[in-house]
Amino acid sequence: MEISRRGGAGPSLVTLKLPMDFPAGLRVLVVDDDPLCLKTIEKLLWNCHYDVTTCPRADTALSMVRDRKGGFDLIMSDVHMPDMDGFKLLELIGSETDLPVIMISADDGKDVVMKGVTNGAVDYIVKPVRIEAVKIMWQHVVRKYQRKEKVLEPVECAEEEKKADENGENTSLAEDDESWKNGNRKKDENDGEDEDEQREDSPPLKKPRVVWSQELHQAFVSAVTRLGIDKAVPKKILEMMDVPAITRENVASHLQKYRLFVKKNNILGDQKQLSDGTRAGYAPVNSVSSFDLQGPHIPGQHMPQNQMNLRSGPRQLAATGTTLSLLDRMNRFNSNAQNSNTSRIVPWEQSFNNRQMNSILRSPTNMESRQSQQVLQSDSNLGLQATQGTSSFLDPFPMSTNFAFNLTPSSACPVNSIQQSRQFDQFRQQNNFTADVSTRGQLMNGISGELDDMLLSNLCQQITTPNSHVGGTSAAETLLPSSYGSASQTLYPCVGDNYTNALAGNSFPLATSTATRDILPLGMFGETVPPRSEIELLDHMIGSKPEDNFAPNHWNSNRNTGIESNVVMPNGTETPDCNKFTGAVQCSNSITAESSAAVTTNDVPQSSINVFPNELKNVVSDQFLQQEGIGVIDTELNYEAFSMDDILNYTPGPLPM
Amino acid sequence: MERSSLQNQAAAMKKSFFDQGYLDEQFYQLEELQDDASPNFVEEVVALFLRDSSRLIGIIEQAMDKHPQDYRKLETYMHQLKGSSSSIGALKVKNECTHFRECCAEDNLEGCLRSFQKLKREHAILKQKLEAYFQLLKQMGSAGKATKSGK
Repeated sequence: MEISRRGGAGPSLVTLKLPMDFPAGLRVLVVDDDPLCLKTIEKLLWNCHYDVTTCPRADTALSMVRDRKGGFDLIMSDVHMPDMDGFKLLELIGSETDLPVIMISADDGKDVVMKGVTNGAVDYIVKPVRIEAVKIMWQHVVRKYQRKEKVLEPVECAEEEKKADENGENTSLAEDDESWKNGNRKKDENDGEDEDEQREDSPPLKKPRVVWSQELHQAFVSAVTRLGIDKAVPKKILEMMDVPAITRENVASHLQKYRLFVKKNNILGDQKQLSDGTRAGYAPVNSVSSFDLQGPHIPGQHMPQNQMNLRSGPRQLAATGTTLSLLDRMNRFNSNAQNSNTSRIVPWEQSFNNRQMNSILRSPTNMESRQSQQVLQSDSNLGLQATQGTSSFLDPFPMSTNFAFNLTPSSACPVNSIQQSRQFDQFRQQNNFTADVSTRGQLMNGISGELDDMLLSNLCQQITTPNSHVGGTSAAETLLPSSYGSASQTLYPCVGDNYTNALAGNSFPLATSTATRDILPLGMFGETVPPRSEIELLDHMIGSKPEDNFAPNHWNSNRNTGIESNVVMPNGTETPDCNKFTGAVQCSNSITAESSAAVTTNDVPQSSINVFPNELKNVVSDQFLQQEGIGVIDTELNYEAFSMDDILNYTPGPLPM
Repeated sequence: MERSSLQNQAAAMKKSFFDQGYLDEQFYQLEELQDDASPNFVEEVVALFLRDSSRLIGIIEQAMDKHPQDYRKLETYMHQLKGSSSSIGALKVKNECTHFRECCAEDNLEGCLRSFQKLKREHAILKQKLEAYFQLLKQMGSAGKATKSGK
């Protein structure tokens, strides 16, 4: 099944592309203590070509639901059961999953039916269950997903509007910056788990997340490039992108982030002359990169030195002090990262060791959603929102955040690292970008975004090392010079997770844990994705995996296949199955229609690397430099005291290419 | 010939069930569910019902003998019986279950007793009829290709 979203000015419509024989194969679990009813209903469902599982006991049913995460699409439960009240089961299932539950009972008393409704049952069927009712039972599944998709939308829209960004109508970056600032402030205020938790609450309020897959981001970037960053308005971008699944609000949000990222990292290339005539673009980069390099300073790390070494001459931060301050800020930033885990920029190894890749990868759904939410909120146009969670860590660019790019499961490291380095190289070559972040780690540092060639080389080398964990922990996986070794893999501290991934090519999750299910994918902007079950179903339905097939039989086929879509790995969050999946982690964006392009570590399209047009960079850089607000940026990146000014003010030397 | 005669008999019998209110629409639903994959589905379901309902009635009878009556428990049993009887379309039995539950809700012992007696009667009658019906179907089957009893 595919879920495509039609964007546009209004609420997006989720169109499910259903397989021809839908709802055949719909997996239904029927719970009833009456064997007669069970037999009858089973036959009914069977005749409707549903995939039926019966269970005479509620506790058994609950175990089945728990064990087979994503193994069912719909639950039918009797109300009066000896071992457990049907409403209790409903409540439990509702709290642990997002499965639609239908109550069935011979009791048609108003109070009982009311209880079903208030407890969240999607329907109440009075026995005897008729085939007419069963035939259209699938509607509840569809509706649920539809609702989830819609829920994702408003959040972004709200965010966008909050930022006073006329949703793309306003082409003034300055204004955007303002709004970003405001938005960032708001985000700051909202940062924290509360909001995430709120967001995670019932679907209607849940922030929808548009997962900016690599393809999507590419389309976005090329649209922005064509339009010119200063002229790029969400509406036009949306038109150019011509992607049905996103709305103008999504684009606007993404644009903000992108702009911020570009500004910060001068990604758009050196060629853009900044007002100061310097390669402004690189200035921040340099600063960032150096900053990144220094990252979380692991004691004993020769970061400063390494940095120096790594950085190209001109790029070297003139002022180590500045760098340090930046680093400090980074640290602070990280500390403030919404995800407590990520808050600090810690050496990759450290953070990694501390957490275990698994933990990182396994970001609990909550974490992710929180993170994503944070990202969303902080989507103060920085596009690079620091990931809210670990995931954001890796992804400087919000989009990437969604994919736990940065968090490369250890198991997936080899793939990721290679992928990353490949991407990095590509990106570098294509963009004349010295400071490209080939690895997620770099991306994660986001801030740094750009690295010196040397640095890049080193990084690349590092990256290619197996088990380089690009994503690294949420905590700043800074790429400590010393950490460039195989161990570090994290190229950059995930200071601004968002940033690193901003670079299109790299931003996509290189390897997210395959445990998609357990990971809440984050949209590009870190929005939380629907709960696991739904995500899984979504993944399944939209065929996030290439081999996904929408036939009923495959509805769950990908569930365990580790469709990691945009899983943002919150720092230290646990990715339940991350360990299970080795090898390429797919960063598929289950949410978006495009996600079928599941961004896998191996799939990073080269084109995605060509993200930053010069003009865009220039404009962004200029404006960015003019802009005062670190605050804004900070917010985006979850930087608390990170001063972009410092970074920006850094005047780098000629960019080594 | 014989088979068609049997078929007519079966059809007439079934029709009487509906006319007299022993069975309702749900029974047709069961028949609809019967297919090549489950050629004896209806018979199996009915057999299951008769077995379970008989057992449940026995339990209820025991509960009824207890004093004081546990009406809540009786209500629960009746609810179960109502559920199963509705699943096969045993209309009269189902209706009597509803009535019984109403009496339980009122703690109307007398009403419960009367209702229960009626319930047992209805159940016995239905059991008899259904058994005869399926016996007839079996004969039909042996007489020729077994077919779904016509509506």
